[in-house]
Amino acid sequence: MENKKKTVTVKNLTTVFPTSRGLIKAANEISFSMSEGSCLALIGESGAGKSVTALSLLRLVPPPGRITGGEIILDNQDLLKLGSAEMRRVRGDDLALVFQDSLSTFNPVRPIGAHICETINAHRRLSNGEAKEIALGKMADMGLPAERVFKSFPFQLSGGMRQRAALAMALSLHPKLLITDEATTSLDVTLQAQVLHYLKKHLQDCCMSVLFISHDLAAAAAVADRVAVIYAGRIVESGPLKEVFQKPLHPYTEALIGSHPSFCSGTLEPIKGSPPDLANLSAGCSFVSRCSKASGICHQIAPVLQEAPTGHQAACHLLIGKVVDDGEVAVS
Amino acid sequence: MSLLCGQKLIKNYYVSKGWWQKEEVQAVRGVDLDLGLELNHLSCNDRNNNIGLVGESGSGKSTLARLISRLEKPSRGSLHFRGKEISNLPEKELLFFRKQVQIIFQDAAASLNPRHSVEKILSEPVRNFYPEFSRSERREKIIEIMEQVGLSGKDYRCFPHEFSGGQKRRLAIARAVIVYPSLLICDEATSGLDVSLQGQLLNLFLELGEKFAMNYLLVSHDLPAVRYLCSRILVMYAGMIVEDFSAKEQHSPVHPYTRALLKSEPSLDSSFSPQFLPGEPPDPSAHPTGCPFHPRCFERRDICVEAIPELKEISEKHRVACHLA
Repeated sequence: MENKKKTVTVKNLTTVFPTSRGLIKAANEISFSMSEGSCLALIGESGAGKSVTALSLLRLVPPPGRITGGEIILDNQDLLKLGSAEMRRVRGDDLALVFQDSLSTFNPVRPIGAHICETINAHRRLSNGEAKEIALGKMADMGLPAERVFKSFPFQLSGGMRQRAALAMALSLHPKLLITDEATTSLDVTLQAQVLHYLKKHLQDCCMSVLFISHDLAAAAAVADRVAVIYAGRIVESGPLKEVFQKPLHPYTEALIGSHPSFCSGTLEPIKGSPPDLANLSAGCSFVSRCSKASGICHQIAPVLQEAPTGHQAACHLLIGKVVDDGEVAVS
Repeated sequence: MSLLCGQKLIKNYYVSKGWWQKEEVQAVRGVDLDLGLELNHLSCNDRNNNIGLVGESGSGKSTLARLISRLEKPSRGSLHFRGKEISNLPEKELLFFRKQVQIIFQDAAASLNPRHSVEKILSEPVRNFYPEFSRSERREKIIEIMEQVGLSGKDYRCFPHEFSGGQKRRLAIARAVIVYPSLLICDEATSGLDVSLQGQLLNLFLELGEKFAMNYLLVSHDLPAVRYLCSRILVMYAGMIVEDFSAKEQHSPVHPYTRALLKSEPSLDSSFSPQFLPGEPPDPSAHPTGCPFHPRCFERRDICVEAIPELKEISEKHRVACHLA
């Protein structure tokens, strides 16, 4: 995994929204990198900054929100330094995004095929026939009856088929990075399994990276190989999937796993309280008000991401103590 | 005597299909159901009597929930509540039933009137079912119930928009349980929520169930939540119940659809690769002949195409509608 080429590197990405109550840092110094053929799951509660991160990567943050700092390096170029015309070329070609609501992804009065061909024609000089061929091929890859779906209108398809058609559209130009923003959240388990299956299959066949944004830990576990947990705009823990889910270092990750009915036996222990007000963050750790292990230092200083040799990182003051206690990993 | 019992419940809808043409959509196709959960306050122990109703979207589970809560009249079939036939009673005579069976919906925000204060929202059921209460008694009751569902009692003058999503759900629950029903039907009440919020609500359900001796019918496509809250699970497919089994007694599901449903559920096991059913859920206006599941079933035989399997008991508390069982 290590020697694979890095496709995307995000460093200290910060996106802010000025509001009447002050500046809201919706994404606060987000850093991660992804290599070819890998899938990173970004998980967190609603309002944690998952979608803002996705939109920032595409530079589609709705005003008055703006990206105030950081780097997004895709293919040795910093996306934040590109002009708007160049950025438009990157979007849809190298970067693709699939949204949660597939019904509003598509124009209701145009057939599915027209959408996919439009995307292809916007980026490539191809005849209509060639574009159609690519579209049909991608839809067949997604397990759809291609000819029928090509002519269908969005309302004629089931939710799962529509979501797979959206995925086919996003993948039609072989993007280097695919971002799926809660793409399976509103689907039934059976349809979710379909979408996850094709996503995983495609990930293995093609050299691309997937940023899988979800609040569903189980769905993330099914496709991702690395996990980043985001809380109040900051990544609080990241690492390989197994490490994070089996030996969570941050109390928030631990609590998140403890509140999921499929992972815990016995009584659920949901996290008490609700996420903090981003306009009114305290000086210390943002999780402090809900943390059962908080001590004095947590109220005063915000923790930074600390690396353990396993490639597992967490932003928690208690990490140092915990690592020494377990005797398994030592902080480098 | 069982609390609520339905026989051969059928619900058809008609949708217009061009000029002068109507198409029949069979949402629920002959469901025999015995919720069998009459309990007294002493024998109520937490989740032993809760029932989960699972199925894909379009399988008719919400329609069935609306039928047994009598929000809709069944097209055919009978519905007995404590032995009394209620499927054709006019609304006015249903008050006694409404006090016992309440329903909450997925979209809590949409089920609360945005122009009514919390006090007004919660006082409506109290006025209906406890007309003898004075204004101050009503307010006392409202504050009490708000605190029991985890809201601050001081907020009774607030309006729904002043609450967060999770608090709105609690408000919807408060409105339903304020009359102490014996059965609360939750139609996708925890779907689409964050895990921590969902966990809080599931625990609230358990707590309230114990406190008020109330049972749940949890209609959901979220299997982990259903398994957490319920002891008995009904699986619906294409308007029919295909399997009825007890989750607590380690019954392994028999129907091919139930097995496929459980297999498609993602788990933390990293060796897991999502398996899924081929094909699409059936079109409710054109159900296949025979077993509704046969076009997607791996174990299909000739008989499956010809005859609709009956829901038969294969062991204690385990019923399956499959020719192969």
